[in-house]
Amino acid sequence: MKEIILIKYGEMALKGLNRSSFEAALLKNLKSRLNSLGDFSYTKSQSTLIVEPQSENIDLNKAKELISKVFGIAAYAPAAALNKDMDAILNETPLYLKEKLEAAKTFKVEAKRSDKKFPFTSPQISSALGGKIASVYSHLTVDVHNPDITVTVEVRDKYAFARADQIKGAGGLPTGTAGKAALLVSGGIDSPVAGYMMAKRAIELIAIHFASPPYTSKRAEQKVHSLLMKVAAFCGKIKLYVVPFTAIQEDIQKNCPEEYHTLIMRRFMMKISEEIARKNGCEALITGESVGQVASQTLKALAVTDAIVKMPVFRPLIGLDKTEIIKISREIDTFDISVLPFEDCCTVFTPKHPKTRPQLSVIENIELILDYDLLCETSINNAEILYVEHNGIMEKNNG
Amino acid sequence: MAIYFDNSATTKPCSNAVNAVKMAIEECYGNPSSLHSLGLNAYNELESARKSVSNLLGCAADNLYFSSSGTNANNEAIFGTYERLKREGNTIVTTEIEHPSVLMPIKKLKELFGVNVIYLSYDKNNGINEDELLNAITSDTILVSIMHVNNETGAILPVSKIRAAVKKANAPAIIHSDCIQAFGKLRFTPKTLGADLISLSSHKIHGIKGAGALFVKNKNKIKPQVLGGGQENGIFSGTEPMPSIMGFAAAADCLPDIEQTYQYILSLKKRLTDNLGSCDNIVINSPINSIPYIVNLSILTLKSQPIVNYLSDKGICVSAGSACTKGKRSQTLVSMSLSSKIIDSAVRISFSRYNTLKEVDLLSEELYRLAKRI
Repeated sequence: MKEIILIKYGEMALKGLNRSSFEAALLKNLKSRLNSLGDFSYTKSQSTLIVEPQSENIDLNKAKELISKVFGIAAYAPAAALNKDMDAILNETPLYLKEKLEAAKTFKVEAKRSDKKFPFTSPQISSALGGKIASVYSHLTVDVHNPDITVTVEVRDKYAFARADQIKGAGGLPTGTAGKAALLVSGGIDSPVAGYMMAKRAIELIAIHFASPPYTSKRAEQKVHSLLMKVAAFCGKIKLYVVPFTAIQEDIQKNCPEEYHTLIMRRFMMKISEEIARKNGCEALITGESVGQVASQTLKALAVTDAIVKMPVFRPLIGLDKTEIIKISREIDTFDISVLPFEDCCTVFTPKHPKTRPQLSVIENIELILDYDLLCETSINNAEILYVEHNGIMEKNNG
Repeated sequence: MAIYFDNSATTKPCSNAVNAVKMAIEECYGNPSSLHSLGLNAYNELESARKSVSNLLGCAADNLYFSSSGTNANNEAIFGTYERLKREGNTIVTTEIEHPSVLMPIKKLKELFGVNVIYLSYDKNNGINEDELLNAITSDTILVSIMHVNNETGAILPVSKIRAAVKKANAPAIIHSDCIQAFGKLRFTPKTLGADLISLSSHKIHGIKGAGALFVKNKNKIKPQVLGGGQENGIFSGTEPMPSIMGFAAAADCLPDIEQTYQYILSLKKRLTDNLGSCDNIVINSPINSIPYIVNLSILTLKSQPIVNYLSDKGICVSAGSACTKGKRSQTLVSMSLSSKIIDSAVRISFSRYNTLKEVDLLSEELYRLAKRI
């Protein structure tokens, strides 16, 4: 019996004339993810995409797992691709869904006939298959309102597909259809969640991480790799810049008043990120900040950080509580990595009493002591570039 | 080659231990419980290893049981004693600065069964207050668990004073001492400590990870917590990890004279403190009554992890607090009432007989440079 996966579009099914570009993006994202498992064929059919493995030794469970994380998919369902005749439908459907039917107490059958040349109507298919299932699994009773399992038969062009209930997909829109933005990622709980949320709204991500060796360790960097691998499972390959930040931090420590250290550091990060973002054709910056979480995330502090860049800065977590952010981080499997106790550049030097109501003019004055442009330029030129995919990291050294 | 100053986390296995492991894996791979010749061979090696380690501890081989780790031995000591003596009383006396493998099991007993736990405090200058110890132990006390040497600061605790206090209170208490950081570094025996249970670990004395041991004075006073094939007289069921045990024994056999090594390590510590003496930003946190093997210090201008990372970059391995509690604020330093600034910037330097004065000079140089850098 041939098994395939049916994919149902989400929000993009509502798109009008530009729908095909969304479909093309989804297809590209799907292919890039599933290619590692082997060859598949992809057939579009109304708001459904039929993914058919081209050889028998492809691991469909792995394919399902990968598909569950592709944005733009509302739901998916593994299904048996049956010959379009009534005998095949009646005999093979109960067999294909054996495990699920045995575990259920109640069921119903739904039939959809998009191929109107098929000689039986939908109600006829439903009633025949319902009778057959009830005779094979005598413990089952029919419940049309609230069944444990709904068996669906979709009679389409080439096959009749038999399946159980659909599984909820990742939702959102296909990554890459709404432009590109740069995510500032530290290694904490928030930034991977912020990246995930923007990617869900179709944004393609690049990532920027600041490292302060020798004060921060390789382990802090590996932690960022692991986090981005989890995010890449949803949004595909992420280009990562690891920017050396030690000289800047030491300069700030030596020359600026302690209570402004964090804010001046944040402004450097934004400035450098904007430059890298522009080089990469990004249209915005993304951070994981949430109002009031720490001293540098008060409204006044955020305004001071934003003042140094012209690019829009998106903060998808701005109104979320920490518990809400943690809930998402658990869902996308980043939480356990985020809580690993490695100091990153944001925590290496933290002032005792940071300013929560900073004044821009004061900060701009302090910064006059620093050779801003040279410091930024040196950092950017020495950045290391890596490519992060869901299953590994690729290096490329041309800062 | 890295300069290794993290010997309280683990030590480099000595070559005898490495050879013993190789032998265990290649030749002596039988199960000590098997009846055939290979089994007998392994059994003989196991008993010979028991003699080696018990010899170093100064106890009869019959009183020493191999476990899979020091943590495993501590857990058995605490849960095993509680299960046996829970009808005799409901109080456990311990200190605030024990290793997590003692604190966590006791905390669990408190949460699950409402055991009354008395935590003795540790003062930086005076150590454990002996009057406080005397008062804490009553006729309700079933277990006193106090470590011999603290793993983060090297502080020496007055384990040998417990016996008198237990007698005076006429307590049914068993005396347990986590001697993992003291074994092979201080001269003691179960008798001189007056302990009923003593936990040891192999990889802290240049042995191999995967083996520990529990000295048990009276086997009837504890109940096995891991059930199975009844190995180690039923106390630690599970096939004996022969490579680790044979490595443990080899390391114990070739341990140089304890007093001589102590003097050598003392010279290393003295060189370090002399070298750093003139630096304002560096403070030594280890108390006066501590073993020279462990020096806990803070560079006040930086946090622990950046110091460790910086030194690691220079090829020097030290530890932030203790390797077992990464990322959390050290309970030991908190209970010593040190300022948060000192605690957050504390690192642990721990010596072994393989360290040299030259290495200590290099370490001091880098610490000094780092303290002046920012």
